[in-house]
Amino acid sequence: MNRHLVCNNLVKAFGGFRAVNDVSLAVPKDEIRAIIGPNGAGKSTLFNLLTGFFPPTSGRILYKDKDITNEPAYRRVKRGFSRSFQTPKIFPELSVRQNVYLAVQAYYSRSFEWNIFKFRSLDLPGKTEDLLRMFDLARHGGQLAGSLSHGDQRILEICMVMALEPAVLLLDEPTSGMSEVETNKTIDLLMKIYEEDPITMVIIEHDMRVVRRISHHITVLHQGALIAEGTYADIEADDTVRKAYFGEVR
Amino acid sequence: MIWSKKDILWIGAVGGLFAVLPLLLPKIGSSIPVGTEIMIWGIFATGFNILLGGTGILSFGHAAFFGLAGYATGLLILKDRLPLALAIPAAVLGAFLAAALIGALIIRKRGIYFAMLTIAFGQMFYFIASQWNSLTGGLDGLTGFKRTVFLGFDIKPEVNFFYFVFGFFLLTLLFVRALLNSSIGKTLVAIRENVHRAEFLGIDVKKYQHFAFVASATFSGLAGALYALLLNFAFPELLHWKTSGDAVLMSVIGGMRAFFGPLVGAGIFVFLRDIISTYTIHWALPLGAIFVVFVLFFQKGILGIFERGNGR
Repeated sequence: MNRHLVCNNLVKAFGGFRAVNDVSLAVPKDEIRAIIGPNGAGKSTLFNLLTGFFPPTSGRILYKDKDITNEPAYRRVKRGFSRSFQTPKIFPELSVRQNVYLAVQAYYSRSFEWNIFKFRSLDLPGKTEDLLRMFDLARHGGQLAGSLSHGDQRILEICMVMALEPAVLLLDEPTSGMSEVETNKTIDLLMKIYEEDPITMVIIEHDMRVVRRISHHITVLHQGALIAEGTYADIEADDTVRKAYFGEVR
Repeated sequence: MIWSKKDILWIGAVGGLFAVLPLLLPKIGSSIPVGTEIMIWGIFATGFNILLGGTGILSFGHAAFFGLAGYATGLLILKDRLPLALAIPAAVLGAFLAAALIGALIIRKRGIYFAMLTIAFGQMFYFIASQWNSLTGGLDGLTGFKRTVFLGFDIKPEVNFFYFVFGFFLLTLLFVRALLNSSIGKTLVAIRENVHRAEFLGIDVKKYQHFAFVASATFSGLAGALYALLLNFAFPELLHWKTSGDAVLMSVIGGMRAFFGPLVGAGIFVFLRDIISTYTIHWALPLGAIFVVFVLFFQKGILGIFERGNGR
């Protein structure tokens, strides 16, 4: 249970610079974990290691006790990983509907790739419309994804990420660049999804109100290293964190 | 449905137009083999566009597969070694296998490096063909073979050969259209539009890119086999990277995002070359100028000007 997603002594060096320096952490199943830290703390780099965007310089990553350290990203997706990016990675030249359709198709074709008849019997357009409605994107369905507002592009990416019905969801600053209304809407939606069917979530977030609202546990990174871990109250009371992150408030 | 009603209608219309070309062409001062050649380059360019327009990968090496199958066809039917009905599939299979092998070696490289490697491999084939005199006839090319009968159908006359190629041409259009409509085709579009997002949707990007490379090269092979039969001749320029460049040029002129774009480009290319070359041997100059105009002002090609959703 406690060894769901684990990394041991992860290091990622770019030249002589250690963007992630000896980070070990364990995220239990169905926990919502926030990763916080000032800019340049190595949060996104850690994400890229966890999701297989690039391999670590050293250290190991385990998922359900399987070593996935050197597994390419698409294999991890097949294990149930799904991620968003700091700048949304969508298909800007395709319509919003096509974007979601491609995600739905990718999810179902990974189970039915060699079973054409089963695959053909699936109602992919129907599932696409369901998702569009769920994420309040139906009215933009025919619009080019690249023409959406920044906030809506993020919501679209989260929609595509959720189309994969992930077991481990990794969101890189899901609410940055969103208005307060959009932020609340997105967080409400994520919480609703979680309450209906809990999954493991790892979220990089800057907005401490969001962190406070959704996370069970918090990991604090500073200059590539893990400096604290605990509940919101623990972190708030931690002197090291205050020094590094809150900049000595009070 | 593997084809929409619109697909069938358009392919039917294009098929109908080509079916009457042997009657039309001589009346406008052209000839039947020009029509045959348009279809052959149409097969080459339409297949090539699975890779270029469909997946977003630029290759300058597909002439290698075009020429390989051309030489293979000539060598296999030389001195009646094999009947045509076996020689053509064998030549296409050869192109398929060569592409599978070369693709496996180079598909991991990105962008410009990939394009450079395709040129390198293509030129390797070119030099082999131009130097191996005893097998290929060297720089003089391979002669001495003649198309005769295909499963009892006499393809010697120009008209008959036209309709013989026409059959392959229609099958190519139907097959490529079905492929692009399929979930595989849509996956290729995902890779073209955002390779990272595609990967994080769980798509094995390299596998699909390799597939697109091999599929397009197989059509290059088919076109090459038919071209050698059209001319009863195979020569090193078939393998040259400039021949690959012609396929790129056709796709760009016609519009690589539209299904019929490469075919329209092939038609214009062959037709103009035929007309211009009666006046000057420097036919590449005006064609190059047209290419420049399209790249600068009509990036979506001729069909891009009319296009609204067609061919996606």
